[in-house]
Amino acid sequence: MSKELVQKFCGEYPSEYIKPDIESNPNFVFENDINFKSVQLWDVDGNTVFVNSFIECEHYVNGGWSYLINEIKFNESNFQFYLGLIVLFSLISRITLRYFLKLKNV
Amino acid sequence: MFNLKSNYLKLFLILFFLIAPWFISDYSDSVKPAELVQEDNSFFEINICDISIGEFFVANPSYIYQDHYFFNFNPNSSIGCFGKITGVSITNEGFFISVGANPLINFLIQSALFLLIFSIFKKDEYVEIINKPKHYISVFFTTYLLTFSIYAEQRFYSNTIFDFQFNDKRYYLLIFIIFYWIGVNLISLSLDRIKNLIYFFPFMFFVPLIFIGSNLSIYLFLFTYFGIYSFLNNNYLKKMNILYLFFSIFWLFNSTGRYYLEPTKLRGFSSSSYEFNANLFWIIVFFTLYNGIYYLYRQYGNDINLNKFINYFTSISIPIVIVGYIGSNIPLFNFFSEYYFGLQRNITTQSNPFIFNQWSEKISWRGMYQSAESIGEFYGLCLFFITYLYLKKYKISLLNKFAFIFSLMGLYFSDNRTSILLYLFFVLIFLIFKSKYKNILLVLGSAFFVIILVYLVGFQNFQFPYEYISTFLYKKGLDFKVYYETSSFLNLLEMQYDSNSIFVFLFGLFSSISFLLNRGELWALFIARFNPTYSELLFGTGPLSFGNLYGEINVIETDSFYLPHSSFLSFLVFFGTVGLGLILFILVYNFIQNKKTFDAFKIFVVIYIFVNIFKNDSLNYIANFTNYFLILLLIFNNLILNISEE
Repeated sequence: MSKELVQKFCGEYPSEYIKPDIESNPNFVFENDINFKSVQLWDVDGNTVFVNSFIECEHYVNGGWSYLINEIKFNESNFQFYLGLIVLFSLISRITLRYFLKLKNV
Repeated sequence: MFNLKSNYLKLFLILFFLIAPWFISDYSDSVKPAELVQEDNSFFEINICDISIGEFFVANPSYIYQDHYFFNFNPNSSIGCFGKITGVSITNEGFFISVGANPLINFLIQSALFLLIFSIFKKDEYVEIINKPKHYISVFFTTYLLTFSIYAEQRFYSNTIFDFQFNDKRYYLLIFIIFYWIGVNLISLSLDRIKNLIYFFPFMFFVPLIFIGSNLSIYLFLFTYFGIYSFLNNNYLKKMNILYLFFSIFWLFNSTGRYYLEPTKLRGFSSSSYEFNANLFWIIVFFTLYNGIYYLYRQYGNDINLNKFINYFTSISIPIVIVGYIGSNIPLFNFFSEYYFGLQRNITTQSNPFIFNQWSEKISWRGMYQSAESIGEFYGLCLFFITYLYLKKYKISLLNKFAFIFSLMGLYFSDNRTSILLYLFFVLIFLIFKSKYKNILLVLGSAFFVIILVYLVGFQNFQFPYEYISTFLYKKGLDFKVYYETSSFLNLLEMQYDSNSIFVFLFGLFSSISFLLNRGELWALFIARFNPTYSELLFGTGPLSFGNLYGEINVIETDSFYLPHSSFLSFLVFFGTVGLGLILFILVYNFIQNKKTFDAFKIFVVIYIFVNIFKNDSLNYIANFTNYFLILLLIFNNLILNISEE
């Protein structure tokens, strides 16, 4: 799994980060990192999990929990596009209205 | 002030923006909000973004006032999740419910409400003539610059704007359109009210309007615009701007590091990264900020009416205390206040402002402001102003009386002892010099003042030997350092202490003051972190940027994130000794030039501001910075005196 994908979900790698060997340790416990902002991950079925440390996040992302909620539920790009159109329409209306009403102020 | 009759549509829209965004949901589905229980909250893990927060409150109205429910905004959520529950977590303190608040929507909703309310205020009688080409250029560059901030502070925004592709220019176009919409409307409304704009400065204490999930305040749009317009049109501060340009070149060439710092309570007025682009952005913002404020003061400061200014300034203390108190007791109100007032932090959850700790020390209460000390300064200034009106036998309105009571309460709640002490000092001096029995009152007053001083500073703090308090900062600084690296400033101190130079004596005095001001540990922590090169010590690392200070040198783990607790130390980091020296020189020079016009009131206000910023981070908050800058401009340029003698 690429580093870029991990960074996309978990943020930048901490400095001097050493990946622990989780697979060979069946008793490995993920400890919460107070400096790490909790991240929510989704799998392909829409199941979700909160991860509380970079190590845990990397582990889950590498395990396939690498879907964005919008890939499952929403199409964020469409929302952003329509949002832009609405604001643009509002701006054009404002300019047109002011032009026809001959308002002095800008 | 208001014109409500012709604004029914606006009032309707205000209500719409207050209520509607939180009820957007698919009401035709079968998913109905469940109750929160300790044992199992899988419902909220399965039905993410299905339940709107409005729907949730309607189904569970008791959560509105019960104090173990904490509602937080989750900016890193999609547009579709706006206003909906995105997660629930349970701790020993209670339930933490996060609600989607996509920053792109926040920019629009928060500013729309602000603009609607702003538009209700009366317009000036005459429309100000402005240079239109320069106006359009200024609007364009303001929008461009603020859009650039998203690029410059990518690391911050990658955690807040959901699915924003930082390497795709179309996303910046979307931001540009949104910012242009905000900018053009805000500037247009401001130009309609420009002669009264100065009176709105104190409102920043009440409505800082930092967009949720961003590092921008709506006021930056305004000051950036006026700063650019002023630079193009008048360039009043030509010499200062040239000097600033030289500093800027140094700061930019020096921005080779790459340190990130979560802005937390400084959000909206502090860089999140110390690196070239972020530094460039904040350098320009600071430039436009001081030029913008100066422009407004130069153009409209002469028309300012002191009574009106004091009325606006002091009356704001009333809603600040009330909103703070209600918000600290009602979770729902607390939650929405953060959004609509654009607060850097939630209103405090400390519901009782009278509370003391186990050592019978008052616990400071910050209410809705991000810092108890800084809002305490504001209340102190309100008391100063109203007392001055009273002593000068001006008419004290009912509003003034209420403002006085609320400011007094606010100052007590905030436990800003310096402000309390300075206010008492001010009142005593005025009473003594107004009385027939000056000598007796002087003795009694001095005794009273000393008793209060000893009580507030703490009797035990005066009992330590000078050897101890004069080396306290240095020794504490050594305690804070980690074994594998030492800051350059601490190294410098070590060398000086070895050679026992005059510097040690001066630093000893500074250390003693810090100890008595209860700043010893905080400034020692600063010393342990402060790691400038020689050139950085001279010129600083750039305005409003703490990334270098907090990222370069490690110190031992502290129980909380501590700012330097002195605006002087902050400015030392930003502008270096040369920059700080120049600022002080300009102030002293102006004082000497205008000393004949300085009456006791002006001197007190200047002392009050300087003592407070010496021991507090106030200038790192946009409301304190802009208001103090404006007040000092008015005082140093003789405008307040003219009015006070009306």
